[in-house]
Amino acid sequence: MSSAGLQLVSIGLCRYTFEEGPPGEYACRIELLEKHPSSTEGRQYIRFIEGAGAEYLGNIFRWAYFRRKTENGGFDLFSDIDSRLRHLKRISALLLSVFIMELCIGVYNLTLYFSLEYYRRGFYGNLFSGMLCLSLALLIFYGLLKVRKKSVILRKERILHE
Amino acid sequence: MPNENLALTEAVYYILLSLYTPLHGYGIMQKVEALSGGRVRLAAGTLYGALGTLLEKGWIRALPFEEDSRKKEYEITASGKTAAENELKRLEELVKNGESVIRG
Repeated sequence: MSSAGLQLVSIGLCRYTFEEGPPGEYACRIELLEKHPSSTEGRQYIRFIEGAGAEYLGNIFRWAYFRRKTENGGFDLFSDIDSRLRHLKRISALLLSVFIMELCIGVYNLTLYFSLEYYRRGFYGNLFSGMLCLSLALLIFYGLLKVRKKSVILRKERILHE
Repeated sequence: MPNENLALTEAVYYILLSLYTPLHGYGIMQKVEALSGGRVRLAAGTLYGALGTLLEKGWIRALPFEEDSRKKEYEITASGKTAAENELKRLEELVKNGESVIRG
């Protein structure tokens, strides 16, 4: 979005605020923090990143958004394989827990639906919820596979390089 | 039990070198970039993790600071200097052996 002249200025739940500005003015990065941004550790980390020249835009749960002017050089939150792998591991753990939750809710709802007598199946709430949860689980599983693939590539690279 | 003879990562070695004089996070990033002639650019997230590990090992220490300050400063300790010196010896050995084999 920044390259199109829309600069992200703040974040909230289901709310992204953009302002017009010179194209490519900022580089944005998202990180899944170890602790919630409102915790002591989370605040310490955010202060550290801000002290290093980045701007904290806000968070959605543990996902923190940062940006920095591109005129100050490239902006990355991680510069070595180990810290990238640790970040991917955090994302993977989150995705796995949501995947299991969606799968269980989906299977539970479908089981409820199909356990009803045939003539009582006119109520589609359980069927709809079950299908929706299983679809979400499938989508999350795809994301999980992509994260795992990225981790495998980085681990192979670490055998040769730091 | 951790093996103290293991090679340091490039990031850790440069962080230790940069902290022979006390510096805050952004100062470390700038010093490392300057020491390496612009080749090594530490990202803030990576540096934060490395500083936490070095503090745990006692190779660096945080200087007293005000709670609200974003500029927490760190400096190398005696055990950190020993680790850096050991790494220097290891690197000298690598260069010596590399030169004798590659350049004859």
